Amino acid sequence: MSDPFDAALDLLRRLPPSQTQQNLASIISIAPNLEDDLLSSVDVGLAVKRCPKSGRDYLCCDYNRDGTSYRSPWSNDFDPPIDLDDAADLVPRGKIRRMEEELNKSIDVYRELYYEGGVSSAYLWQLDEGFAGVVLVKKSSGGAGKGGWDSINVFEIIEATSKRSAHYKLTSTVILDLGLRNDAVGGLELAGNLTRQEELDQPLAGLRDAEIESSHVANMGRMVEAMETRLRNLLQEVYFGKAKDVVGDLRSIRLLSEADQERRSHKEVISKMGGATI
Amino acid sequence: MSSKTAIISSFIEAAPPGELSNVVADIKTLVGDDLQSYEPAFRKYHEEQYTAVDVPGGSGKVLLSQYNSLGSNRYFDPTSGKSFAVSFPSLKTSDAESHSPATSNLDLIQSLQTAFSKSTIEHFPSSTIGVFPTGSDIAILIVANKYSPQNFWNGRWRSTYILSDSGKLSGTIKVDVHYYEDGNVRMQTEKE
Repeated sequence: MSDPFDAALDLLRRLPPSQTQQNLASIISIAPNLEDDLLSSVDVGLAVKRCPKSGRDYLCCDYNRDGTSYRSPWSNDFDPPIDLDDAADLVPRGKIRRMEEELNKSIDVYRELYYEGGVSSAYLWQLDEGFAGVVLVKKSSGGAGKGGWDSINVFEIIEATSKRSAHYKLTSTVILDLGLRNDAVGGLELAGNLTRQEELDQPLAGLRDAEIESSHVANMGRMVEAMETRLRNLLQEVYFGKAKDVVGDLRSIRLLSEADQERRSHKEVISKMGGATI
Repeated sequence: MSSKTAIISSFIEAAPPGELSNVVADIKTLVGDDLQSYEPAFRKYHEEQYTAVDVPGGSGKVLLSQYNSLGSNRYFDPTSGKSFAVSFPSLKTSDAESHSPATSNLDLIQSLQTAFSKSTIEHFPSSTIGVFPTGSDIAILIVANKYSPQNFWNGRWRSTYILSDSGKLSGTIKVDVHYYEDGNVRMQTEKE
């Protein structure tokens, strides 16, 4: 009997990705003991909340959540407010908070350049060795053709003892949802998620803390940009290319007997060429 | 929140082509081995996905669909003139009896079945046809599956055509593709 957690993850990988949120809730309702593990390992579409202090939108995920409260990266407060004792552990300060603020600013610029809209947020937290973070971007569009892009980039960073460089580990997931309904096509639903990983050592410029912090932010930003571009191209290839290939395998456009005939004459030509002496 | 039965049934009905056994194994790990209470969900899945089963005591395969269902888990096959029982979820067929469908179009149905089986070879590398009477009309069903789990993809094409008494032909094509290498991508389209 395999492990229920693995079974739940496998199930979520087979059921339609456009319903991952509902399916996750359903699985938790029939296996409540898996709730915490599943919520922290399954990527679902991101929710948007408005920060009451700054008036800006931010994205909600497991990393800025405490119970039902979420922390805004703009004001650094939990909404609804949480216990002060818990806040001491969960609200970042000092170096982590400074980097988090700078990271949010850069990702904001990145988002406007590549997405021309949408919402972005970044959260960082201290680890025993090094620190970790997540960069989130979300964009939706509606109309006859609806679409939604959610990207979740999770970082793990360990500084070298010399502080001249750091090791960056990035796991990125893009959740893409496309739908089109018109007379020409009928109804089309194409949804899914792809995950890729990257590990890189990058240099840290400067000797003072502020310079090192800026280096980290620049390195992380560069990695996110490269990874998201890669994923965007991969998605195009996989979503449309692969789906088209499979449909072609199910039913061919041209007559199969013609295709067979062509293959056989190709083989004949090649074998004749192979027999000829040069 | 829906009941456990409703939830499990929805998982069964949403299983991607060629992966029903994987979905069922996962369900068993989560809620135990007894799947008999989900029999209606299995029946609905197989009837909607045009699953092909062996005709007991005969040769060839026949599709399961709402059009050739006699109720009480019995289905008929106009080509061999038999009806038989199917048990879910095992899909074992049994209890074949001779059966004449209540339709005046039996000759037309049988010749359509032969004609379609010959012509679909030109476009479908592998497919199964079903031609069944439905009221005074005739339903023509084509299902083509391609499974490549070692490459992490599976696909299914389902065509449903209704030839009405007056000679009018209308239909729907549904395609379902699942690609799951390092991710989970599903395409479902429907065209009339």
